[in-house]
Amino acid sequence: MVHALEIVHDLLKPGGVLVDIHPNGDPPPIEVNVGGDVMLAGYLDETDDFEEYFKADEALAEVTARGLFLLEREGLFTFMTHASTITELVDFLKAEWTDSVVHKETIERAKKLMGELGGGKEVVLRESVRIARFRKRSK
Amino acid sequence: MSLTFDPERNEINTLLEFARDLHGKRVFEIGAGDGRLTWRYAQRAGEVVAIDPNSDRVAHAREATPEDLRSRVTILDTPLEAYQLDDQAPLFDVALMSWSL
Repeated sequence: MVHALEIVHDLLKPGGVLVDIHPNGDPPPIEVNVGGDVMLAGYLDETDDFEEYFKADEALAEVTARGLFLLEREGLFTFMTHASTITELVDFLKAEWTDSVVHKETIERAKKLMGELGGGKEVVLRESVRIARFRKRSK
Repeated sequence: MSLTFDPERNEINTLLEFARDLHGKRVFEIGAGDGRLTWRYAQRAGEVVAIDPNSDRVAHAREATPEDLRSRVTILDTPLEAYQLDDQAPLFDVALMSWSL
């Protein structure tokens, strides 16, 4: 990861900007929403992906400490994936996020909530995502 | 209903706030995938070079590139370590590591 940041540094103009986006490692809730009412079904198990997020944080801290970049601003935002059923969400995650696991208990709870609640229901995966802006400094 | 990603536009709104003015800027996006985020900001940029090592996703992104962005967005199936800036090409104003670090 540090090497990747070194490559990016060399591809930027003097004073150029790096914006990094990656999840912050908090377990993402899987919710059932009905007209604004939010019911928690469980959490996505990212297995060891959170280790990669922390490594990303460490790599950015290292290149900043070495003077390659200057951290100008950081923050968080919420990224939500909306599905009409828990099965739709699970199938998507199996295809696109192979390291993640939706445990049986979460699936069953989501199905139960979807069955109990009225119309206009949806399942939502809510991810907390870190964003940071860095300014290139000369080596 | 099919899956929808960030209809709230939290990601793009936050990105534009952090990247500030992209007008006329040369942007390098690492980890562009199928172009989902690229399409949302590219109209504001001068030029975009987007890379991803997954050739299937890149093929899909190329096919799905909006017509009005085809002249300003270049998508390459290459890992970052193998990317070579063209000899005459200028360095980038902005680099975006998009869920890729």
